Amino acid sequence: MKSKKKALDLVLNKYLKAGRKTLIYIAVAAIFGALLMTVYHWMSVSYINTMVITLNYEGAKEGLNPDGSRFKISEIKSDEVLNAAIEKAEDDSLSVEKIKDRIFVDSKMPLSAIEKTSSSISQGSIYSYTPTEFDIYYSQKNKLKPNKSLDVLSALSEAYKEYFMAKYCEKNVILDFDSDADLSQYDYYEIQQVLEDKINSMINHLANHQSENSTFRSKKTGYTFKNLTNMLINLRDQDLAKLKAYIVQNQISRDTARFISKQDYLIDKDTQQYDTNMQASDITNSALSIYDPYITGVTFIPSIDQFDEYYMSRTKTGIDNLAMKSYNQGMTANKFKKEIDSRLYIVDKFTSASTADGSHESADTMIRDLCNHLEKISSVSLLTDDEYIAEKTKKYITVKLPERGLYIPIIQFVKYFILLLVVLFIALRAYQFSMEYLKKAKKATEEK
Amino acid sequence: MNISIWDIFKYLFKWKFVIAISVVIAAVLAYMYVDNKQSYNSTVIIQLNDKSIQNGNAPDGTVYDYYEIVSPNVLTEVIEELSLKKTVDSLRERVTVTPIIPESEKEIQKSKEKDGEKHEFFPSTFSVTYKGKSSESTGDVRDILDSIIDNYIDFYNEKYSSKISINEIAYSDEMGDYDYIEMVDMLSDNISDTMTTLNSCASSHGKFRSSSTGHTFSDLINEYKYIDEFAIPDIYSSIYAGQITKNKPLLIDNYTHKAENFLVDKANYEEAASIAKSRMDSFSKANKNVPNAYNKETGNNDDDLEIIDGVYEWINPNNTETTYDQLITSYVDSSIAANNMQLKADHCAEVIRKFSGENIAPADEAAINSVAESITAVKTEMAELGKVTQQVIDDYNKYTFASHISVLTGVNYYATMSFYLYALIAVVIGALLSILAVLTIEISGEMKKHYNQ
Repeated sequence: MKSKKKALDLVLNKYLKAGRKTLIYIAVAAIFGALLMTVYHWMSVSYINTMVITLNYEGAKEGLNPDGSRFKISEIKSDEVLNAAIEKAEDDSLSVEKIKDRIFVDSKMPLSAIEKTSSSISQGSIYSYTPTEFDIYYSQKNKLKPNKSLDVLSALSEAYKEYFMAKYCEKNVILDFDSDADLSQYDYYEIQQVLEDKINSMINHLANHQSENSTFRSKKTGYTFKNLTNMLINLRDQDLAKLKAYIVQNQISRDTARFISKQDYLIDKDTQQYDTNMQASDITNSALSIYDPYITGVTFIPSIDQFDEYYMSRTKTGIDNLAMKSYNQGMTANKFKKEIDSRLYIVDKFTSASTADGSHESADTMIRDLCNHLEKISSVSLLTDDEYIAEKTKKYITVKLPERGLYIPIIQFVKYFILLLVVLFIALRAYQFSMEYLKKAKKATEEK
Repeated sequence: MNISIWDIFKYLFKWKFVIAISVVIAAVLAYMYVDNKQSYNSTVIIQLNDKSIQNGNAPDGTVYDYYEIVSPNVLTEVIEELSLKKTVDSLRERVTVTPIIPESEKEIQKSKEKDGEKHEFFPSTFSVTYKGKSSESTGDVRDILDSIIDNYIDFYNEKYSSKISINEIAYSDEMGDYDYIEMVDMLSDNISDTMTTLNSCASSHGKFRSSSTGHTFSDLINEYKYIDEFAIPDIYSSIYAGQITKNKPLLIDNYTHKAENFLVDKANYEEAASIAKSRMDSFSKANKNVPNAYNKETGNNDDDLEIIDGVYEWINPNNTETTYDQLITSYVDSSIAANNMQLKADHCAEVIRKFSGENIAPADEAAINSVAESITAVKTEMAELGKVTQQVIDDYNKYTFASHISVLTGVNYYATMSFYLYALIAVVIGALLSILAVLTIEISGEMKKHYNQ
């Protein structure tokens, strides 16, 4: 045992020029230093957390939101989002000003994307690389307080998701219908118009979704969009049509004189519009006859029509423009004429002597039944559409948060320990060397 | 004294720790230097999609200058948004805008220059770079450039894009002293203008649905239609039926005055139409006898004229209408305007007639209050509907604006100084200097020894 110790001392003194005690001191200093550095590293690292936000919808690659407007990741640091995040985090010590500067946003894209885009454009081809993944870092300022960086990040992710979905994803409020909605302000004929417009709006919305996904079937309701649109179309073309017919044929009105007076006003108004457009059309038309044909030569040009067949076209002159202008004005006038005729018919029906025995109560009952039916379709449509929108948008924005767990930086400690050992040893050797050199120099001077 | 290569190795081995320490110190110094001086740049590539840019013009027809990306209008907003402690100029000098020109265009330019011809190419794709200071972090340079691009897009759309808007009336403030019929006229006109705008949007983007409110343009048109066809006519018919007015003589005078003015305008337009017609006739007469290839009459000294080939006129696409067509368009427009003035005068006369009728019982207070309440109800409804409409239009504007400028890449940042390069250089220099110093010490020691001997 003693001989082994001696051998060790010999090795230490010969090769490392350091005794056992010295090396022990170095090791202890290295451990202590490594501990301090590891603690600092642990505090820095564990108080910073990162989440990854990924966008996945049509338009994301073009840098757009789902509604077609421009996507701005900087909105994650907006006051609205941060206030919502602070509320979710339930931490009174936080404020928008405090956490805004501690949040950092980085997009995941290689630097080569810029060069590649630039060179593609230089070569005349199209290339773009818009990032759809972003790293969001949050660094808690006060490292001495409990680590809540992950909680803040989690709250931020929820707040941002809600903000994003509320602001940029589609809404289906148009499907909402309440049978208790107050329709008393309208006359009976107007009520059926309001209901018809409502049904048409609902059909349009559902038809759009049907065109996006014709096979979608709700698990909650069992309906497809086609089912729902058919229900609405039947409601409109059957029940509503019957209501309209009943109202018109039985002259059902809350105040007939008032109703007719309104229609008369609208007829006058439309007549004015009709006269304006029709007379404009006539004036333009008359200009065609005074257009001097000799002022312009006309050249025929062989060309190809929309069916890829040869067709003899001609140069365009002012006559073409006048003719189209007159036509368009006439067609506009025609639209007003159609409205006028429709209203005149209504007025005629309501003012003519009638032997019909329809009653307000029957009309009210029909309206109530229709509204109840529409409300049922509305609630089913909302459930179906909500489910569809939820499914469609669930992957629009995904957030990946780091896992919670105790981070024990053992490897970091070992690295620091080894580094400090080497540095301290080199420092020791440097000190020993310089001391030897100084001794020699002093000796040489003394000898001189 | 002979020093061999082995001696040199011996000297280096003897001083190995000094050399190692020198290299480590050099590396540490390099790290400190780079860390202190390191700065980051951020870059992004944007593309302007409006066709006019390729002709060197902004969408409003003015000359486009791509350096407006860093105009004070934009940078002021950036400074405010990010609370930067910078001036506009100090920010501006750190941003460069580089057009990306396709190689093919460069080749064309070269060959044209050789022939002494001019070739103009107007780029529509630009690389925008922000050069950060050493005190600015990666996040800072990224945020600054991101903000510049965001604010430039807003600026561009504000300046050049035809932003859809509706005419909002401050219903409570702007209708105080008007007569009942005038208030209803204002409401009716406002509805009409708004529906025209909405119809125009619906015809180009009928499927657009606002993400804020969930409405399409058709949904909004329906809402305005109910007011226009149900509530407004009700008010008008009540007003006419009861001759409800705050001041009948003043109302009649007002409409009489309007009617007379319309008739004056009508006369003016008729005169304009007459002038246009007479000039048309003169122009036609003057040109009939001008020799031309299309003149079918013979003996007019133009029988041998041919259509000349190969003569090309640079066509300004904004002005292709012939003189004669311009004159006849002017004639038609003036005639239509004159007719419209007559129709308006007739409408005023009709209103006067309705309010002048003597067989109508004067309206009682209940009827007047009913009209006033109905107007208030319509104003309230329109104010609420106006907010929803404005929200939809804001969403629509954002939707259309996104098409004008595309950001082809995200904002990327990169360090301007490579630590590894600097460390390598420092290590090499440190090693070389320490080796040189060591060799100098040893060789001078040997030389001294030799001389002493």
